[in-house]
Amino acid sequence: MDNSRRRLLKGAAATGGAAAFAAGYSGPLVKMAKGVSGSAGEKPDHHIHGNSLAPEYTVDLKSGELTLNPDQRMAFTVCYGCTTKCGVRVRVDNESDQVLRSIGNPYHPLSSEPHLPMHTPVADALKSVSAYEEQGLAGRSTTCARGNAMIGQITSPHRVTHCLKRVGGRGERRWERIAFEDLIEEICEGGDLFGEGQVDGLRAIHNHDEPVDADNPEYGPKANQLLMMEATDYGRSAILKRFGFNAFGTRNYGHHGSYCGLAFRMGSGALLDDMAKFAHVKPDYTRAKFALFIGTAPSQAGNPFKRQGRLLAEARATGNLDYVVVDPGLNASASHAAGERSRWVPIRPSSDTAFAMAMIQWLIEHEAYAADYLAMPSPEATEAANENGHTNATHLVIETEEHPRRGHFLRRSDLGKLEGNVEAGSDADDVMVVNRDGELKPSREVRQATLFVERDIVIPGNDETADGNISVKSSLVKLRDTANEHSIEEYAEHCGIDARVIKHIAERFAAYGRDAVVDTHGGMMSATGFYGAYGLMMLNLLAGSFNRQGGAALGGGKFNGTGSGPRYDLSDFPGKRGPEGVFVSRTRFAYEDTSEYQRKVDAGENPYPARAPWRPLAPPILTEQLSSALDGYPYPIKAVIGCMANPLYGQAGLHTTIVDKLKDPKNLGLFVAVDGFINETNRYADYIVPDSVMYEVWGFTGAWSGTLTKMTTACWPIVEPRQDKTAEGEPISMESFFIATAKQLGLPGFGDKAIPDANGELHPLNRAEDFFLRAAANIAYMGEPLPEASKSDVQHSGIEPLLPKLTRTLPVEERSRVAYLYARGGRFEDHEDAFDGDKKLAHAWSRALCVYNPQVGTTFNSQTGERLSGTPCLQEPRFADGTAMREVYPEDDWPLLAFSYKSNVMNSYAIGLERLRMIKPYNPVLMHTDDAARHGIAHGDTVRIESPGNDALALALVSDGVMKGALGIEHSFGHTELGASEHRIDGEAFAGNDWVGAGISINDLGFADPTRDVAGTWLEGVSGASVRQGLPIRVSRAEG
Amino acid sequence: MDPIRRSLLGQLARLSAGAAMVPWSSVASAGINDQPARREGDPTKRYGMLIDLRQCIGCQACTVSCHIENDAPLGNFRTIVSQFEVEEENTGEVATFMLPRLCNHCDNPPCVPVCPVQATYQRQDGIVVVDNDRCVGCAYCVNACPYDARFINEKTQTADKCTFCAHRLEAGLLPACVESCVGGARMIGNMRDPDSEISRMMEKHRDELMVLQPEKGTVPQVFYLGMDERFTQRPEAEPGIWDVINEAGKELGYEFGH
Amino acid sequence: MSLVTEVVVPRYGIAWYPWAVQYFFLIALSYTSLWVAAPGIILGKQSWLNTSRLALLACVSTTLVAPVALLADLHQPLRFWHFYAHPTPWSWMSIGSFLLPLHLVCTVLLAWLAWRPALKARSQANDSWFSRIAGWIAWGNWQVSRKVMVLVGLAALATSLGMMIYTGAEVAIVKGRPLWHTAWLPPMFVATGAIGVCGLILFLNRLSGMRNADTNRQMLGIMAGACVVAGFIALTWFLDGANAVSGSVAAALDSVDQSSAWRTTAIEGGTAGVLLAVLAFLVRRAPGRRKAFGWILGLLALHVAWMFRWVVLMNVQTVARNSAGFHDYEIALGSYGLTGVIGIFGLWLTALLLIELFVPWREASLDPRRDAPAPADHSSATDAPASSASASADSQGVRHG
Ligand SMILES: Nc1nc2c(c(=O)[nH]1)N[C@H]1C(S)=C(S)[C@@H](COP(=O)(O)OP(=O)(O)OC[C@H]3O[C@@H](n4cnc5c(=O)[nH]c(N)nc54)[C@H](O)[C@@H]3O)O[C@H]1N2
Ligand SMILES: Nc1nc2c(c(=O)[nH]1)N[C@H]1C(S)=C(S)[C@@H](COP(=O)(O)OP(=O)(O)OC[C@H]3O[C@@H](n4cnc5c(=O)[nH]c(N)nc54)[C@H](O)[C@@H]3O)O[C@H]1N2
Ligand code: SF4
Ligand code: SF4
Ligand code: SF4
Ligand code: SF4
Ligand code: SF4
Ligand SMILES: [Mo]
Repeated sequence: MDNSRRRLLKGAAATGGAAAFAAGYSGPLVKMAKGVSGSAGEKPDHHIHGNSLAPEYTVDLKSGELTLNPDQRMAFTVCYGCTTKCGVRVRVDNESDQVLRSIGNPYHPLSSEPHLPMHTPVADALKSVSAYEEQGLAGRSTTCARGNAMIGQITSPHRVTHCLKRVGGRGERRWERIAFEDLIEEICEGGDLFGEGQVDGLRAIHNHDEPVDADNPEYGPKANQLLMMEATDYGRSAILKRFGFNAFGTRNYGHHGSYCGLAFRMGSGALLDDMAKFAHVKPDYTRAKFALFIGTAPSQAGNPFKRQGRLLAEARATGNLDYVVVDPGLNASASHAAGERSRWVPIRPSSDTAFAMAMIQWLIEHEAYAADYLAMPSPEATEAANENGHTNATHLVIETEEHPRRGHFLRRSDLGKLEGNVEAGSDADDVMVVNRDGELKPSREVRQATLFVERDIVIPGNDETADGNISVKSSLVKLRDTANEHSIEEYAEHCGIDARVIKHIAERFAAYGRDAVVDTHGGMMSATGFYGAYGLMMLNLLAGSFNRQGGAALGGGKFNGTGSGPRYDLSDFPGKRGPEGVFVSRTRFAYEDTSEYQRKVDAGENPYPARAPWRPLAPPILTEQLSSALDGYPYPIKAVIGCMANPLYGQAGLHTTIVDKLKDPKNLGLFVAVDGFINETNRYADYIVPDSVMYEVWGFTGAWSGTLTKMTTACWPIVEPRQDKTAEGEPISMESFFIATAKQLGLPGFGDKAIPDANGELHPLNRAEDFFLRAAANIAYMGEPLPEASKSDVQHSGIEPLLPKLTRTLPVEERSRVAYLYARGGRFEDHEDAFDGDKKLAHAWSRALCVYNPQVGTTFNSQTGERLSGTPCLQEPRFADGTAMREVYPEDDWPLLAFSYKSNVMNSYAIGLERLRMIKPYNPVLMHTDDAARHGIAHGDTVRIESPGNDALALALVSDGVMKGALGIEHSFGHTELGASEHRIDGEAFAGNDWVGAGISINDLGFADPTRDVAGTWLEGVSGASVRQGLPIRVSRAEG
Repeated sequence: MDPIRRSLLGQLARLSAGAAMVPWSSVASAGINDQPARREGDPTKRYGMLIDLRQCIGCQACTVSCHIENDAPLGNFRTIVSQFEVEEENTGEVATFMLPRLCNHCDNPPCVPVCPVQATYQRQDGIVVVDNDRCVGCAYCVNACPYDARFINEKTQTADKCTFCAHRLEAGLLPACVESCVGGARMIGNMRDPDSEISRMMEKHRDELMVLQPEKGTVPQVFYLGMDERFTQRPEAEPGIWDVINEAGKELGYEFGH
Repeated sequence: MSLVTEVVVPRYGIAWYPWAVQYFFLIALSYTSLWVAAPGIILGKQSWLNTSRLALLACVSTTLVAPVALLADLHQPLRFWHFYAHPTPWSWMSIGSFLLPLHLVCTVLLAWLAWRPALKARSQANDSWFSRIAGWIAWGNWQVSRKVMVLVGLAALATSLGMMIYTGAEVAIVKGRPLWHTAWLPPMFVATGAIGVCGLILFLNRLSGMRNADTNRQMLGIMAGACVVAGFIALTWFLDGANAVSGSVAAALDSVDQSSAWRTTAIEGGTAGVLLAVLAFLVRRAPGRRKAFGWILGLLALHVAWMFRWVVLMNVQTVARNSAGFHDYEIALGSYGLTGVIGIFGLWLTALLLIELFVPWREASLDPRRDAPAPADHSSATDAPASSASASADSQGVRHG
């Protein structure tokens, strides 16, 4: 090779090297290019504080003088980060209208403890959370991680801001934009909307003249063929219900209750004798001394999440509270740092009745119950003893088989002792008890009744029973009977907790006497949940801790502004309708009262089983509504309007059970969703109406039990909603949607003359604020009217943007009182008003607590024709027709039981938030060390989980932090929507981030009840609650 | 870790936490890698934090509020709370342990002397800060901090860390993580003031307080109450599962990896 | 089963990128190569002249490229001037920032002085552009005394020692990473640097076509020695820390205990080291094998030196400090990963080739007056006559000039 060739080659190689360098060094070069301006990155605002936010105000640490930052405002509103709905204080940048951060509202009991008295000037409230005199340490008012991260919802790239109409088939994820006014027109008038044939519009469905089914007239009018559904009341439900029930007049409305905690709520309702609203209690954490958490996980989740977490934490540190957490999975409630004061005991999923009955048996056997308290048979007796509330422990249940009132309490009328015009069965027809002298007496006349009574009562002239006698048992005997059906060892075997441990827990529980309290919730969403919850609440009853400080507390309730209030009547209006007929969920209606039953009886057939379960005790349940409607039993639904609800993600097995039918417009003509996002459910909608999200809404949210004082949180659009506007310039939202639809259909209760004031004069309902500001006026004027807001209050609470709306809507005298309310984010009873003398709570439950619930005990199972037990008793997970789950899915084939628990950072719709995903991007499933070993699975392995309905892959977190034989799945992951999948809007890509779909959802492992004819997911027998705890599964190591 | 070794470390943990309460006399800074003189900040104050782990519920409110307040890039944390399942050796009972971490504003901060341009320094009130305008982004301090309290902020391309929210302290407000602490576990205050809440708590719990990695001689000024001494060190644990997959088994990896 | 299971723990990325590996690799080659250049170029030892010329080439090229890599590891590269605006004598990195340019100046000055005679000679030859460029580089016709050159050389040696100390200390003082925080790390950097530079010179010896037998022998000898020293350091490190409850050995044992990747690394690293030592020893002894395998061993040695730094700097950063296990680190493809690594090697190659093209480095000499180098033992030192043809072909231009 000659020299020049050689040089040429070397030169070429050098050039190659240089090129490689240029490519490899591009990164630093780019930085250098940027760095010419002084920084290779974005130059932050401050050389030390970087881009930290400018403080919203400053407080001089010496003088306490407070100076507001003129570039920001702070406003009080509500957090939508979860159903706790805490009151928060939000910082907004004035120039950009961006929310900067949120923190707790110090007036609000869900965010601070103790909360500030309402009369505190706002400026002082702001000082109380500052470093001035270190006030903020004790005065802390917080938002949780989710609440903080939720500000991302407002600017989320996954947010829907335009009206959308589907293109192509349902669920194909293709949409086109449509004007709001066209959307209203199309859904009201119907027509060939999708090129698939005629679709009935709301006008056609709004038919109150014809029955939906002439053969079954009890079903009600055709107007019932509209189903309204929503998640829960985020403070705006009043408008939805006004439209649905009272303007349109449909029977069918459902919310997430039936797949949230209905089994608990109904079990609780059974004990509290409230089968209408299912009142429930929570521990009074401020003074509790011993608590048993079973199937609820305070500080991991729970309602109210933050308040429980805060108070539990504080009690751990002060040493005031000892507690035991009985749960299939270990969670944040059981704190290692708190040492022996908190303890976790693993339990087999869906076996809580066994645990509860064992405890009840032990307590009764050892007479470790509040005997004197239980012996008080009436309000008169408790009042005399300075107690809050009484129980029916001593009331006598009619046991005689053939007695027409079998299962009811023996009343004076049953003894033929009714005087005057007292109606049999009314309150005045007093129940009978046996006094200490063994005499049968009306309960009101007895201070202390006999607890255990089992006798035949001879009734002269009685011809209702064969021997003329009525045999009765006191409620407590009935409870003892069911509790003694099995030994503690058998119960122990059933629930997987060693009998010694159960006895130990019972001993500890008993040792605290009336200071022991039990709490439960989501863990009851198993096939035995109703009786589980009833049984567990029974422990509070036996301990006598209801209505007591440190015991089981009802809570203070709320100021309801949307009823008939001191200023306006928001529940009544000219032309108002009341819904009629049978719920499509076949609830609150006895099968025995149907035409179907009658026809079978008339034909001499055995009327049982009904075609599908009827549940007379249950409220309208969304868990049945969709699947039943799609199968047309009792009748089909023609249109669904869903507002921010996501049953297809939230209800175990629903997706598998109904999705194919839902896709077919023949089964359901019209599905309109009002939502801020595209979720797993409204993905199948025909239209999506964009809605306001958190901080952009009007509304009033109530309190949770466990909040001991009365309160209502107010919210108003503290930032301008980002979605499109209507032609009138109002933001498109749930409210404007119902207003426009009602006007299009000419329904009453909306439009110019819709809201009567106290003088009967009518006011308009054309905008959301027409409704909510008047509700605010009602709240402000309830009881002693609120004072007027000062100028300083207005300045410090960022409500200036609200003032023009107040002026536009309310008469002058109402304005500044309403401003006072908004300046503090609601109305709150003072902290000290929670307590009464003698360990009593101020807000108490006054109805008799049920050791035996006659309403339950006289109800029949529509599938088996059997009577329900009126006391808690051992239950086995069963399907609708009564077959045991293990008969269909034996343990040999399905060795594990899956359960789910809530994520402590996520919630069901939080997965789109990057700031939460970065902390918890994924949910590995909990497997016990022994189960893992048995299946050859190691920590971190990929496992295949199979259920009767589906299968999925997940990573295994192997430890002893879960019950043997159980598999725990953290809820809120495994999404397919909310940003996880790509949609096309007008042909353009929208969303589609794989990470939003990370993880696994237990609900995808749910399945249809194999014993049902009318399709339905596996539901708890009494309540119809979704069964998501204790699903039979099997696991195997996935290859690769 | 064997028990002897552990208890030794635990002993050390206690001792050093105790030592921190005695004013730390700074070593004459003559040699290489010695602490430079502190500058700026209020010399009458010495900020410290006390975290009562019995009150930490692991809610991560601190993590997220800090992240927002201080505009940290996704996936980087000035503070975060680790969560562990812990088995009690004696009883076999299992419970959850939460451990919030942030910059310890060490009295002998190893991150400071390494900085080649004095961009990071300790103020007289004890707060260790970074001057964004001066930092060259060499990440030396990031490696030097034993607590992973620092990171390179990809937006600013400079070192980033907890400042005890100095901007809020100066405004008479509380740091984001403290004001949003749901469990009420975090407390900040001036340790030079004997009447401050933190001084009183430290006095009261003098023997129980622990700090992280005391043997490193960094003299941390974030004190823990209710600490399990095993966690003052890198824990011996089954590692967290860091893979991310979806139901179909698709591997996604960590979204915010750097 | 462990008593503790992590449920939520943060993930941390790495703070120093592969640029750091490149810097530490090149800079170790830089200071060690200067020491190999010293006998021939500074002390005038004839038997080392050929080796030292190669070493000088290695030294200049690595010294020029290393800071480029270092600059890239700054997230604010254009703020490098802050180092000089804010001198910080207590910071090893700051000290390094002053040493590095000094070192660069000294080594480049030394090389320039050593190359000038030949450059001047080439500038007078009739080699068109190359002569002209040689003239420019030579920059005038003046001469410095041999004494000055020795002085410059000694200065360079001093800065090289400084570089050695600072690069070692800079890492070893980091308490935050127990695996770094050991007094045995700096000597190990030096030993592996020496291994690397022997490898580099062996490789260049072959690549340049010089194929000098003495060079092969000398380098293999030093390499074998360096391997022994490295082994000795590793052993002492281990023994020193084997019983300690904490510290770098404990940390290393933990890592090896917990991670199969670390076990593999440890085994591979150990094997490569031992293999290299054994091979160096074996190959060194027979001229035939030296000639045939020297350069291959050279590559292996470079690999060992580079890998050592990769493991120390990159892998150690993946050891979680406050949680169990290891952080994910997958080398990225782009600038801050593989392409960057290759880019620096590309720049190095370019530097070598540019010198090769424009500088008659083969004639480097301590004697400022020598016009034509022609080492006395040129042909005898060449392993094979066949290669001398090609080797001399290159130098011809100069010789005839
Ligand atoms: N962080 C967070 N907080 C929340 C929410 C959230 O999404 N995230 N959601 C809010 C809502 S809507 C609700 S309803 C509440 C619910 O709050 P909780 O009722 O406290 O929470 P869940 O996770 O539903 O269930 C409680 C516990 O029941 C356990 N469990 C499961 N199966 C069984 C069983 O068969 N028996 C027993 N004994 N236990 C079982 C689970 O492991 C879980 O720990 O939380 C509210 N707060
Ligand atoms: N396996 C399992 N299943 C469960 C649970 C569990 O613990 N485990 N928990 C159950 C419980 S307790 C509940 S309460 C239910 C919850 O179930 P749902 O209440 O049906 O579902 P969410 O996901 O809360 O639905 C709210 C929807 O509202 C929309 N949305 C979110 N924020 C906004 C907003 O600001 N504005 C508007 N307009 N829309 C918004 C989103 O599309 C979101 O999907 O899930 C239940 N399902
Ligand atoms: S608990 Fe958290 S997410 Fe839920 S409402 Fe309160 S602040 Fe928001
Ligand atoms: S914790 Fe780390 S960053 Fe903070 S002062 Fe200590 S060493 Fe420096
Ligand atoms: S990254 Fe910045 S603050 Fe940290 S050592 Fe380097 S220059 Fe100093
Ligand atoms: S003090 Fe401020 S910067 Fe430090 S962790 Fe708390 S919120 Fe973050
Ligand atoms: S906010 Fe407080 S309670 Fe919640 S994780 Fe952080 S330190 Fe713990
Ligand atoms: Mo719920």
